[in-house]
Amino acid sequence: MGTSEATLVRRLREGDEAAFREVFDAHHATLVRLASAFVKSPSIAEEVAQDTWVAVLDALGSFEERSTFKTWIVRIAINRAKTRAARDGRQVPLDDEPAPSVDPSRFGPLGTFKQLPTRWGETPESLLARVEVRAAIERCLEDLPPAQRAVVTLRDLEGWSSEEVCNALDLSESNQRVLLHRGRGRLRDALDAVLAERKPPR
Amino acid sequence: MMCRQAVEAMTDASEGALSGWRRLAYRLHLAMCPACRAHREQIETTVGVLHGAPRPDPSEEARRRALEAFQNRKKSSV
Repeated sequence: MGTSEATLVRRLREGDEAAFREVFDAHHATLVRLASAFVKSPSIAEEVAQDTWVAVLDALGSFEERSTFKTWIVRIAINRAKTRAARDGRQVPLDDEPAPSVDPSRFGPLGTFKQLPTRWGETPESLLARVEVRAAIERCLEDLPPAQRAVVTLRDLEGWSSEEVCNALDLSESNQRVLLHRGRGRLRDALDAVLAERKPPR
Repeated sequence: MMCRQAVEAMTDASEGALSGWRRLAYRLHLAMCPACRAHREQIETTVGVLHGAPRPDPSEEARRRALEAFQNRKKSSV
């Protein structure tokens, strides 16, 4: 844990409100996004995130500084989200189908691509500027199995390292890679579907 | 290695988790195969989109509730 984080935790323990605002602003959106992977509605995810802050404040004394603070908070949020999902009778499969990440029908009998994947001809920035792209990403994330969604959320939306994600989600390195791989594959499919609907730029 | 295997090795490759002959086979395949390079480009763009997706700000309501919880706790611990 870095010095600045240690200082932050000390200030929190002393009841420093500015420190709390800082951690809240830094992590609240992450908690909501992550809880969304497990519970069934955005409002429940928001509730889970709120409950997490209460739990974090209650447990501050027992925070051990061998894990990073944000990993610790996220672990609390995930536990609460899973508990909530179970209480609401929502099935949370942790692992999922061992299917390939690319539709098998795209390969010929020898296992080679039948068609050259299209060049999208877009940058991430130009794609993000389009409403239908953002909507497709949102929809696809919502449809991902929880474990894939949790991994993609932390790795790709939040920019966490694989080590941090493995710690927060109790995953082995290889399991984390499989989930990331499938999740990214599904999101690629979603983007490709949106881009196939438009006329190619001339 | 064929396209079917190469596409499944892409995340392992970008995570630095390919070892030995598999890494070599993957590199050879990518060097020779425009289709897999195009697929990889799509995956990279996808990841770029996710990285760049705007982060929602917490609502004022959410911030107010959390701060309230913080202040309550402070009071009760004094």
